[in-house]
Amino acid sequence: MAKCRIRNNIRKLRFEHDEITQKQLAEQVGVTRQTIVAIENAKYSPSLELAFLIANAFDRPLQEVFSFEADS
Amino acid sequence: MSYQEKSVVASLASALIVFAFYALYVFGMHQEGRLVGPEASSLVGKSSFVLMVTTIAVTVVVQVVLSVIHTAVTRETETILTDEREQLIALKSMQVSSTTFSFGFLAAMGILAIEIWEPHMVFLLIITSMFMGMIAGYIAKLILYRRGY
Repeated sequence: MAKCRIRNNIRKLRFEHDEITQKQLAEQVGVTRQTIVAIENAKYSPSLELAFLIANAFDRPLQEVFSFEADS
Repeated sequence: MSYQEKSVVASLASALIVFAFYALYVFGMHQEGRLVGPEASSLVGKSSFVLMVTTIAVTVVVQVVLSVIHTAVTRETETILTDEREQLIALKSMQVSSTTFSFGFLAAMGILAIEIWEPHMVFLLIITSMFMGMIAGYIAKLILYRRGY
């Protein structure tokens, strides 16, 4: 399996947004809680659409939520 | 363990049980010497048809029972939502399943080409490959769910 190189600040942003739970965020963006867990732990790279939905849920631009870990 | 993981474990267990009964039944026929002559293909065909119908029926019953138990225990209805990660997991497991079946199918065609087995035995090998593919698919799905993706 290719290493996931998309990093994210979802956990931090959840706490900054009234400590919303993974389940609440999942319901808001229309995925399962397990998918949010997988994204948060950098096990799964979301599609561009889902990434935008998550960024919109936090009312932040995409690059503040997700970042790409380039090869050094 | 999520509902999806429980569902895969239940499907895996029911498939293994059904196939074990089928294997015992076919082995019994073989021991009794019924798998010889022109009736052998007919017997294998009938038993395979029963196997497929039984597999579908058992899978439906197991999933319904699992859903009822899950709702009773957790007090929440299981999600019918299938998101992008789950679709990718389903696709990957289907790929594993198809690849496994392909190996069995190729082996069966090879055996048929060099005529070392009776055609009904080759058909049994194809049925076994289908089940092995199914089991490999379930295992791949379970691993991907446990890992996150």
